[in-house]
Amino acid sequence: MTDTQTLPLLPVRNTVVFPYVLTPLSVERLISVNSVQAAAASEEKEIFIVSQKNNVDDPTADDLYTIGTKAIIKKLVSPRPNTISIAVQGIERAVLIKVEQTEPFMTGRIRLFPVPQDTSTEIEALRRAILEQVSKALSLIQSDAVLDFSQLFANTGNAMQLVYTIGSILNLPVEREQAVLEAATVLEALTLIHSYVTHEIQVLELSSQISKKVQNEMSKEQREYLLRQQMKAIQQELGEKDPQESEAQLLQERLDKAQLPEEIRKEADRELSKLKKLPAMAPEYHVIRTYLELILELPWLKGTEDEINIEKARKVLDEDHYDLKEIKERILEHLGVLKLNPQAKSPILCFAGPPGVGKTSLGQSIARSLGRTFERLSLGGMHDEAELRGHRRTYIGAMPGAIIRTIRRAGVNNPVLMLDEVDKLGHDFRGDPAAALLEILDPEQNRTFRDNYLDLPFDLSKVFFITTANILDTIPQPLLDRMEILRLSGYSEEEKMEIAKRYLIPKQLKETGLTPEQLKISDEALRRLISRYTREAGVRELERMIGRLARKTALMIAENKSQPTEILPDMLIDYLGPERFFLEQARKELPPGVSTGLAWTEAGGDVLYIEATLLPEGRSMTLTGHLGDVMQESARAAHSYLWSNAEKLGIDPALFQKSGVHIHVPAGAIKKDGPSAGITIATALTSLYSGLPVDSKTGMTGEITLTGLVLPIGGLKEKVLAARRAGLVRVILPKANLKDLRDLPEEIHKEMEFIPVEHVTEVLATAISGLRERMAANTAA
Amino acid sequence: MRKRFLLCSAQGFGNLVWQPLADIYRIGNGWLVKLDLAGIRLEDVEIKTKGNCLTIEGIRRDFQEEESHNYYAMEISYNRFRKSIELPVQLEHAEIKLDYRDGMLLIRIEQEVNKND
Repeated sequence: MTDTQTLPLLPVRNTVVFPYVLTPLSVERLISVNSVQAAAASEEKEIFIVSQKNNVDDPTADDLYTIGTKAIIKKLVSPRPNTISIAVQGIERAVLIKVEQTEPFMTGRIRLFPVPQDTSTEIEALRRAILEQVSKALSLIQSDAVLDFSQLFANTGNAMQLVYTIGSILNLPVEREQAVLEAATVLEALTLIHSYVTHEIQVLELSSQISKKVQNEMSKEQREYLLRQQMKAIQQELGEKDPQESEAQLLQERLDKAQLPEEIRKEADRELSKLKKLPAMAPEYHVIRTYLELILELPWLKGTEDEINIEKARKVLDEDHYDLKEIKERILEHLGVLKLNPQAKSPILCFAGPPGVGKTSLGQSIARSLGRTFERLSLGGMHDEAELRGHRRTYIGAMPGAIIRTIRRAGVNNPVLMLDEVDKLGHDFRGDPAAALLEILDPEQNRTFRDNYLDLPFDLSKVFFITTANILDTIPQPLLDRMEILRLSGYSEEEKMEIAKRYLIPKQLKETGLTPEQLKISDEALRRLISRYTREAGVRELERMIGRLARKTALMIAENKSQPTEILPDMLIDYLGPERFFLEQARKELPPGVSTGLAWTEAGGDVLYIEATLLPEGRSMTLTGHLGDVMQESARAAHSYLWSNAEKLGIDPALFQKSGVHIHVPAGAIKKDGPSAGITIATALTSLYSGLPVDSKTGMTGEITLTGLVLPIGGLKEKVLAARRAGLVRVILPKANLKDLRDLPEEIHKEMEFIPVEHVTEVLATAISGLRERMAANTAA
Repeated sequence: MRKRFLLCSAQGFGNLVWQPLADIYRIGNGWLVKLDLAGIRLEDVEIKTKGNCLTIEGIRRDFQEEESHNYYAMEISYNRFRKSIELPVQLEHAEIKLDYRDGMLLIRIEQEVNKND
């Protein structure tokens, strides 16, 4: 057939117009608009529509497929200039022989290429298979249009009509649509469509599975939501408020009322909006609620006003505590600073001293004198960093750390916070709480202290930190460095008397409900109580003893028994039983090889005898009495010094070679350590080797070096008090410790003689009277 | 895809040609069929009969009133049309006359009396 014709050519992108099918097209390209206008202007409205191989704006003959569709424009609307919507009715396939014109629109010379018309049983089978597939697909689509659809297909007798209709309905890529258009036989076209429909069904099945799943999940949630709404409605009907809503509302109200820094408020609002979205049953709900409550309860901006009245503060401190001049002075100094500069950083004080000397109660009276809230936190035995700093909120049962909890309890951001027993912090694999304390106690860092649970910066810089410790040795150096150490030494007997009269007895009277007339304790009885019934640096045991006296008296009064007007020393045995402690009375006579040392213990001072004896035939030096390394080394140093200076001291050097020596420190069950027994050991050994006894009324303390120098030691006050208790009258001490004597009560200065020394020869000359003469003779010779 | 489908279904399938609307009257011993077919030329119309089926086929060609006009909208169907009408009589020997007035194609069918008895 040489039946060719020339028609306006409309190139289309992304779609193929099929014969038999009415297809809407939107035309926007100028070249296409011109083409359509030309076709519409023709008598028969015929146009040749061909798809583009390439998605380009200005197609040339090379960009077009060669097989297209001859169509008639059925409808045309031009809603905007240069845009035309048309409906074209595909008529017949056609081959593009040649593009004849390109300006102002394309025209093409075409030859009709009739759609295939072959028939076979295979085609019929395939056609039925496709119809079956299509009805399956329709059941999956579930739309209003389904009815029309199925009716349409039922009527399509022509196989190619079916092919083209389905081909135009499936949203196929242009290459596939073109393949359908170009199919040489009906069989080929049907095979193609069959495979496309099958693929489409798979996609539909998958998507319907997905949407079913989503729907299931949705409906479960919706059910819950519905029930909850119903519950709400019922509650409203009954006049009950929805607990969750009222709770959230309550929190909201409290938030509005609370004074919070802006940053904190923002975070709190965020958490609250999270809370509102959660069902009350959700575990997260309670976590957020407790968290919000913590934020609300923390005193972010709330602090007590400092009332700075130095006179009143001094009175308060004196009322509560006897003596402790240095510490009271330090507190008043700080008050003075606060008066001049209210923004001054609070110091971090550390009270170090034996138990029962009033460290904790001192903290309370500091708070009272400053007019601040007092809180106490015991660090003893704490071994986990998280205890101080809290656990992250993600953990179940997480809590804020002890610091934040204490601040919450205080209710103000500037309490006096006492960290008790800082020397008894433990540490293990879980972390070192001391490291956390480093941050808390650093005025530069604690302005933005971040608790793990709270996870918001809290300003601790206004908190007045006071730590307490019995000994400083176990406190890590960096921590010690941050604190101002104030030492509280033990009390002397006189001081204890005063404390008992002023504080302990009135306190016990108050507790037992006695009048001062009903319980009178004579001074002598009190003194005996202190020396025979207690042995301590502080006054805790003394207070208990006075308490027992008071209770016994109260019992007698309650039973209407006669009771003495005043408790005298001899009556104590009836009240409290036999005396508990015997004064470590100075041994009357000391055999050669024994000297009197002074020791410091956590409970105050003590007298310590050092015994040395020669071992004939022996060689070595034996040290017993549960001595620590430092003390053993100190003993060796003393021994070596004497050996090297034997001649000068009038001792036969051969003795050192001929025999060994054994040094023992009695009360062998108690661990002893430290270098302060150095000169005592030297004295004992000198006495042993020279055969001359040591003066029994002289006690001594001081570290010794290998060259015989005497170095200063600590805890002098306690040691002197112990010496006095034991009845010693003379104490040899390192010259460098002279300054410590100022702390001693005056009576002691009156009663006792203090001999400051720099060299061990002075010690020996003072302590061993026989040696003094021998040395004098030596020098004379 | 959806839009295309709806359009298809509205127009029906396989209608490569359009159908004019028709009124059918009984007159005397015959029929009058009036077809809404404005703008056609009689030479472009062809009438066929087969059994009791009357088929009118043809083509409507557009014409231009002005040179080089541009379409703003187009609703009228052009090109080939076909209308088949079934009548309750055999049409093989009927006499058919065409007339065209005011844009209506009038088809007069007169039957032989003896056949219809």
